[in-house]
Amino acid sequence: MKDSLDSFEWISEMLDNNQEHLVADKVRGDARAERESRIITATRAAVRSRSTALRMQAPVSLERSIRMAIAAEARTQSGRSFTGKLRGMLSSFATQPRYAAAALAFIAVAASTLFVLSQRGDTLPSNMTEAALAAYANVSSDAGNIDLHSSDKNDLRAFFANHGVDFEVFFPTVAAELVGGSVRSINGRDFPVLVYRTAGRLISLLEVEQGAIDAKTVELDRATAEDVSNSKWHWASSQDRTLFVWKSNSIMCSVVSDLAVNEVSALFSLEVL
Amino acid sequence: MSESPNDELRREFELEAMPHMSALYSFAVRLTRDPDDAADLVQETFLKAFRFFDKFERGTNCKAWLFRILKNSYINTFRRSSKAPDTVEYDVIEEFYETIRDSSVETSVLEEQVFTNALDDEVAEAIASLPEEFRTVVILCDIEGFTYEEIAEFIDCPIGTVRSRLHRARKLLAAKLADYARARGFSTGEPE
Repeated sequence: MKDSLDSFEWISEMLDNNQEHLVADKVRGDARAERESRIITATRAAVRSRSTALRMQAPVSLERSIRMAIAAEARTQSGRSFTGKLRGMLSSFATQPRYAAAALAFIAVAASTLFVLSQRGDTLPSNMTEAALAAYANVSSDAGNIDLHSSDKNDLRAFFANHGVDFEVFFPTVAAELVGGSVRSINGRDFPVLVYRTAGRLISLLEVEQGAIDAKTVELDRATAEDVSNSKWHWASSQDRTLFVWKSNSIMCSVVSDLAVNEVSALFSLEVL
Repeated sequence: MSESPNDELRREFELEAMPHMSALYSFAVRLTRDPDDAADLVQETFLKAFRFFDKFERGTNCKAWLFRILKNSYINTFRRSSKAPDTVEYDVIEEFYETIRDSSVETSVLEEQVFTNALDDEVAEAIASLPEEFRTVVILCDIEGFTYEEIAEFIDCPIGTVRSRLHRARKLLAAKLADYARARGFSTGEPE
């Protein structure tokens, strides 16, 4: 019986090779083969005609997580390639002693400037999610990267205004200690980053005014824009970071922390946002 | 504003790979039988794919490449215990064929009624009930549209094995769909 049941495998293969007409010719006059052909044809069609319905849609939250993870990986690769290229440049000059001294001096100055800038993170990526993640990484890696240590909102407002932020900074109601703020640049425009602390953990809040998004100075992910437009806020978590985005009047606020989603949500009075 | 090389690579990868995310997720759910595990598996797959995107040959089948990465991730991460391959349910197939042989109704009518009118859920359940090796080939061929060659490479078997498994899987599916139709009260002696 095993052999007879399997002897019509060629039917499946010919159907999958778009040779239905040849199958019909081959099975004609053989009742068993004809029956087998009809059953296989009907079963195959039953699945194929439903292929769209049978495929599950990936959740939007998964897409967000994947994009964040890839963005983080891209940043890690950028850091590695910068160091590698610098090493390569230095070693190539070592073989030309005539110019080595001057070239090395230039490279050292440029490298140290770039190194300082990369450590301070004055410039953020143009994508808002990536910028928020980078701002958090910057302020959480070294307390020295917080430009002004202050819990006074008026002091911070004045600081932001005097350092290029050209819109009124929003101070949300947060159940965490305000520890200071920084000014960071995206595509040549300056934006504020507020820094909070709770239970020894830092939270950064990057604010981007809607005009900067409209002018494409800062890019907003479609998924984030849709979420904020439809449901007021956008959540995402990836690896050990939580991202929370919402819009207050004309200001898009991006919070990043290593707290869990439920811990972050407990800090912000979401009902009044 | 000009993008950094890494930004360009990321955008190229997202354009190439992200359209296949639902296909991968759908397959991963059927593989792991758990949506959370499937999400983790898909995320791991995309991360690995991005890390090795420089090794991907542009112009070749990105979807097939991603599916291979997903399969390897599944084997390495999620399938902790090796199990004996499911045996082919020849008894089920034999019984089905006996039923058809003894039916007083033209089998063409039976097939039209059973398979055309099957509910989407019944087809999904029938596929889910298949042993993994048969479920995989049906999904890859009839839902995701891979060729026999691509499936053979994916499951690391000769093309003849793909043909054989696919044919047997379809017969198992036919038997399952006939069962569902009978459970719904489909009568083999009553023309409609």
